[in-house]
Amino acid sequence: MSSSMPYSPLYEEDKKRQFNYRRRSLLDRLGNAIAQHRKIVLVIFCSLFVMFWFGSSKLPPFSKDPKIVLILAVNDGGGVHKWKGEQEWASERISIQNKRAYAKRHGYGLTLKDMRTAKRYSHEYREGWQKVEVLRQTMREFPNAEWFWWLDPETLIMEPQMSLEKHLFSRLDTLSYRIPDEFNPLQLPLDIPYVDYSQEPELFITQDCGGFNLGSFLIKNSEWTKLLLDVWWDPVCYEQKHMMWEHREQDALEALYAQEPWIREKTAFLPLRSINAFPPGACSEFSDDARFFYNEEDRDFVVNMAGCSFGRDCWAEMQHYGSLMETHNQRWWRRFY
Amino acid sequence: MALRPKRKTGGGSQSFVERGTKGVKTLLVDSKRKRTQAFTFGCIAAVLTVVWMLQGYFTQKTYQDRFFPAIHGHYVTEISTTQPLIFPAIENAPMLKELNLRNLHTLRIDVEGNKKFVLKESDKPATEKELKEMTDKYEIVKHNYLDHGKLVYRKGSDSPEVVVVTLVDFDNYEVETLLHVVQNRVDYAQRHRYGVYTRWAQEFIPTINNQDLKESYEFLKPLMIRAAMHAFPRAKYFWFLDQDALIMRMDRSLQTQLLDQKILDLALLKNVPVVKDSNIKTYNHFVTERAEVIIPQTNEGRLDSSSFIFKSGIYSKALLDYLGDPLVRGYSWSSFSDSIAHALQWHPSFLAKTALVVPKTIASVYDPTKSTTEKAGIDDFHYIKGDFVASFEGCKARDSCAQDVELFYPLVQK
Repeated sequence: MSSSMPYSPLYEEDKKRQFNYRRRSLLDRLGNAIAQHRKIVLVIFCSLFVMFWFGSSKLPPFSKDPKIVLILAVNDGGGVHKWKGEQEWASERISIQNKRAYAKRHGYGLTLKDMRTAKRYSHEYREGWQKVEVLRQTMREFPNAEWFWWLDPETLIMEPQMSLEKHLFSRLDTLSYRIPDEFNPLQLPLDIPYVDYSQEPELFITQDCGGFNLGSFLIKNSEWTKLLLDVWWDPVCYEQKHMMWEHREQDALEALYAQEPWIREKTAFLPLRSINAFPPGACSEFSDDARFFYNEEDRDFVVNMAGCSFGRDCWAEMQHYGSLMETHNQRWWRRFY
Repeated sequence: MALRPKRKTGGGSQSFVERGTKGVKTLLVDSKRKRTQAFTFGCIAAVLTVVWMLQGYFTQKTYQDRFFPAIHGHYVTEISTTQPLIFPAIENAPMLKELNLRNLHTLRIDVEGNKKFVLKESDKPATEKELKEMTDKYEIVKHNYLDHGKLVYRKGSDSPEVVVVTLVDFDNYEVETLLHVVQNRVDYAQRHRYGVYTRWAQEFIPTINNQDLKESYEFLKPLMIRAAMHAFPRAKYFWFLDQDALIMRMDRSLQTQLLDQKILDLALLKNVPVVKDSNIKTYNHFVTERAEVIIPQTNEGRLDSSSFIFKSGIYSKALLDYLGDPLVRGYSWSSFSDSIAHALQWHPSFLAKTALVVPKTIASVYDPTKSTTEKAGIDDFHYIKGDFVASFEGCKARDSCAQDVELFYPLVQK
C-alpha cells in the first residue's frame, strides 16, 4: 500500500513542517503571508497611506462636511501699501501650518481668506468691512457647517491636542457670560429693555482692555447670524461715526450690542484667555491684570499677538510662542532624534 | 421529560434572593480576609458617594443658576393683566396736558445745561392701598399715567391673534377726538376678539434724545410696536394704525382684508422700486408666508408709515430694534418712512421679509378735494365709501385732523 503512494511520507512531513505556523517565528510567518497576498497588501498599504496623508475625512466613504470650520484671515494688507517682508511671510507660514495641523487632527474644516487691501474697501466708510463679507462668503461655501471660528493671522493655537468640543463646546455654560457686569471696559449699559436671555447664544466673542476683540471669535451658522452680518455694516451709522470708530467693525458691533436687544440676546462673552490670550506687549498698560495675558502654567489655548505690527516685533513673538508650543507638545518619540 | 424546565416559574426569584443572602452570609462569616475586603470596598464606595454628592458645592455654579434679568420693557416691574384691551384713561387727557412732562417725568440737567427728561426704570407700580390714600386728583392721574406703561397681557394659552396698536397724543389732540379714535379701535377689536394696545406718545419721550414730540412722534412708532410685542408675547400680528385714521368697516376682519395668504398675494407689489426712483426693486419671487412686515406703498411711491403690520418674528424684531436704535434714528431723515426705505434698500434680509402692498387694503387716504362716494374717476389710492380704513394723512398740514375724525366717525359701518 505504502509503495503505491505518489509521495514519500518523508516529503509529506517536510511540507507539513513548512506550513506549520506554530513552529515558526512571527516575522517569518508575517513575511510569508505578505508574500502570498502581495496584491491585497499593496491595496491596504495604499489606502492606509492615503488615509493618513490626506486625513480620513477627505476620503469619499468617510468624507463628511465639517461641523466646525476655522476661518483664517491671511495676507493682511497683502503688501499693497507696504513691502511685505521675509519675516512676515515666514510668520504667516507658521500661523497657517499651525491651523492646518489643528484642523486636520480634529477633522475640522479650514478656509484661508485673503484679506489684501482691495479697492472696494478703500473708501473711508468701507475700510475694514472685509471681515463681514468674508464671513458671509464662507457661510455660502460651507452651508452645512454649524460653527465658524474666526482667527486672525497673528494667532497661534498653543494646545493643538485640545479639541474645540472638549475645550469650549462642552462647557460653554460655565465658561461664558452674557452680561458684562464683572468686566465691562466699555461701560456698556447692563440692562436694556426687551432682551430675552433664555435664547441660546450664537455669537461668542471676547473682551480685552479696550472693548470687544474680534481677533478670535465663534459664530453659529444660522438665520440670526446672516441677519447680523447684513445689518452689521450700515452706511447711516457708519457715516455718522466713521471718525470715531477706530476699530471699524468692532466698534460697530459694540454699538449694536449696546442698543439693539435682538443682538444682545444672542451674544455671549468668553474670557479673553480661553480663546484669545494676549502676549505681554498687547494691553501693556494693564500688565498687572492676569485676565488678559497668556499663562504658560495654565496652558492657555490660543495666543493672539494682537497689534504686533504696530511697534512690536511680530516675528520674534511668533518664534517665541511657536517654540513654546513645540516644547509643550513634544511627543515621546521626538526624544530619539 | 428532559425538556421540562428545572425551576418552577414562581419560585425562581425567591431562590435567587435566597442564594444572594446566602452569598452575603458566606462572605461575612466565611473568613476574615473576605470581611476586610468587603469593608474596604464598602468604604471606598461610601467616600465616592459623599464626594459625588458634595461636588456641587465645590465646582463652579453652572450658568443657568446665575441670575439673568427677566425679559422686561422700559420699566423693570410690570403689571400683568388678563384684559386684552389695553388703553389709557383718555378722559385724563386735559389734566395730563396741564401736568405736562415736567411733572410726569424727571427732568435732568447736566453740567452743560442740557435739559432732558429721563425715565425711572425702577419705578414701582402703585399699590391699591397707596392709590386709596391718594387724595390729590393730579397725583392719581400721574400714577395712572406711569402705571399704564407697565401693563402686559399675560393669560394662559389664550391670546388674541391680532393687536391693534395706536399711539395717542394728549398735547396736540382734544379729548373728544381721542375718545372717538380709541373707541373706534376698541369696538373693532372687541368684535373680532383682537387685542388693543394704546399708549400715550408722551410716555416714550424720556427714552429718546430728541424730546420734541412733534418732531419725534413718527420715530416713536418702532418703540411702540416693540412695546406691544412685549405686552402681547403670543400675539401674531401687530397692526399699527395712526391716530389720524379710522377703521370704517367694523365687519371686516384683518384676515379677510389682508392677512389671508391668497389676499396678500393679490395685494402684493412685486418687482416695483421700493421707493420712487430707487434702483432696488421688491422681489419678484416673494414668498408671502414668510412676510414679517407688511407696508402699503402710496401712489407717489412712498412707504406709508401711518398704517402697517408687523408679524412677530426675528426679522420684524430686528427691524424694529434697528429703526429704534438711537444712531439710526438720529440721522437726519426727512421722515420716518425714509428710514424704513433705507433699511429695505440697504439690507436685503429685511427686504426679503417685507411685503409692499396696495394702499387700498389698510390705508386708503382721504382727500377732501375728492368725492368719497363717486366710484367713477377715483383711483385705487384715495378713500371712497366702503373702504376698510380712512387715513387722514396730511391732515396736520391742512390742520383738520379733529374735523376729519368728527366727520368720519358717524359714518363708521357697524
